[in-house]
Amino acid sequence: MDEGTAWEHDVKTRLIARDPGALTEMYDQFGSYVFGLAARVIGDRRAAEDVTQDVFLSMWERPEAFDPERGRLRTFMGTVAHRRAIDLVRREEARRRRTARDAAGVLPIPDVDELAIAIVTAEHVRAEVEQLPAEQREAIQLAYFGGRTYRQVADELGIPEGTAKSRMRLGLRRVADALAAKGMEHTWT
Amino acid sequence: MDLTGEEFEDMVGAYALDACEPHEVEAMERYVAGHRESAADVERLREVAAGLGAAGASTPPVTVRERLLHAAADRVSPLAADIALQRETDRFDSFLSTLVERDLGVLTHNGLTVRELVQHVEAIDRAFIEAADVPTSAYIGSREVEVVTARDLSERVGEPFAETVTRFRRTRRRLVGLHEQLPADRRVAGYERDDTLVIRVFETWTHHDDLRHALGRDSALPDAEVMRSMAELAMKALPLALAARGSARPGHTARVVLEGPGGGEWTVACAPGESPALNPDVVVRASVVDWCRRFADRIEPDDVMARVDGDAGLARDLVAAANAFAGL
Repeated sequence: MDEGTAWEHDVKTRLIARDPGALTEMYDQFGSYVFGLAARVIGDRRAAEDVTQDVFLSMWERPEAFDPERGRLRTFMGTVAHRRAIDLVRREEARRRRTARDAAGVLPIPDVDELAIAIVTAEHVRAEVEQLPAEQREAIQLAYFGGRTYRQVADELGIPEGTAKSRMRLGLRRVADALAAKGMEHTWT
Repeated sequence: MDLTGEEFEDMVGAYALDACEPHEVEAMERYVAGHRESAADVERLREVAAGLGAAGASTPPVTVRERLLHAAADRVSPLAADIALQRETDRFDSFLSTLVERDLGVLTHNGLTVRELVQHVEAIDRAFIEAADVPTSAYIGSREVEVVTARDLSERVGEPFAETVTRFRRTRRRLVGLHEQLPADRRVAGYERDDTLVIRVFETWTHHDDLRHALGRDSALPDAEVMRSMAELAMKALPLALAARGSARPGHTARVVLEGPGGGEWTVACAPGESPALNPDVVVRASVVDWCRRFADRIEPDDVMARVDGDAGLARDLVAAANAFAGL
């Protein structure tokens, strides 16, 4: 078990024991990541604050939902944060907020002050995504940051649903393979 | 729907990006749960997605950390029903011991005097205990409560208050004891055993508050754990409450976040017998005290200060229906 995985097991055990120190540690480790992701998907920093709080509170209340045998904590937190954020985006109220954001032109300011290595590797992910064929990149970004379903992506791009799904799959696989080839698979999580 | 391997492969990219429809997500999760290699594949693609998200890391305002730690301290676990009822009973009993003769004739919110309201609490406790002896006993609803109260009060005119309190203590001990005495799946007057006890927790708090209000004393809230026990029941009752009010919404889901000591988060289906969907149609945030007071019909829907994201009409229906079972 590497150091990171051991820490994740330890945090989970302490969360189950209701140790607030474990929540603080987890927040200090992943707070910027969760908030940044939510802010980018939702486009509203106030709503992203609520999502951030909800994500960490859900771990506080249900730490057993995270299974260290299935994956890394950061990936799990990212998945929960992303799902919460797109839930919000897909609701009518969020769409209204998003329009207001677009009109105001306000964007969250990237502020990478935590886990430098993770961010460096995240930059590799982004760089690999930049290398993807434009149509794959576009489908992935619309889905992930735009909160669209593959059906909406297909509609928006005027392509069949099957094509939208395959662009997402092929794009993600290509990036995963490229990271693995550089020995970076799992390193950032 | 059960997926084939080909269908999983077709959808895995969209799934890793959270870009599937809710029913497809459920099907993928079922598939992944039964296929270890597929789970590893999903994890690998999710790591890429999570890496995309990390590139925009942004420090949240310091207030988020403070709010989170404060909210976490408020999130306590519910108590076992008998412990919750005993704890609230002790608080009520302490209050009763502060009452003096001149307090007893003061009129309360619901038209009963202080003395009569305590008699009412004991009479309804007793009605539930009697119902517990008969597995097929009739449902006790707000109409039955009125009948039992009217009958009991007419029989106890002139009863010394000390005797009323003694009877209350004795009856309440028996009520708390139902937890030990009955199996968990036993119904009492139409309610599950533990729900019956938590209904009485609600009733004890609510009437305690009525009495304090009538006597010009400040409200006093139950412990966080007791509040959480009540909130759990209020949320469990919500689908039925919507149906009772004729505002059930089949196929809809709400997430209710109750804030303050004893609060929590619940994702509930908006019609009886349904499972909540992954993506709620509305998120309602409100004070746990407000919600429980609304459940007990002590405040109007407009008095529940709720923040709503999503279907505002559904949020209104939820708040309006929350008191559907008040009056016990």
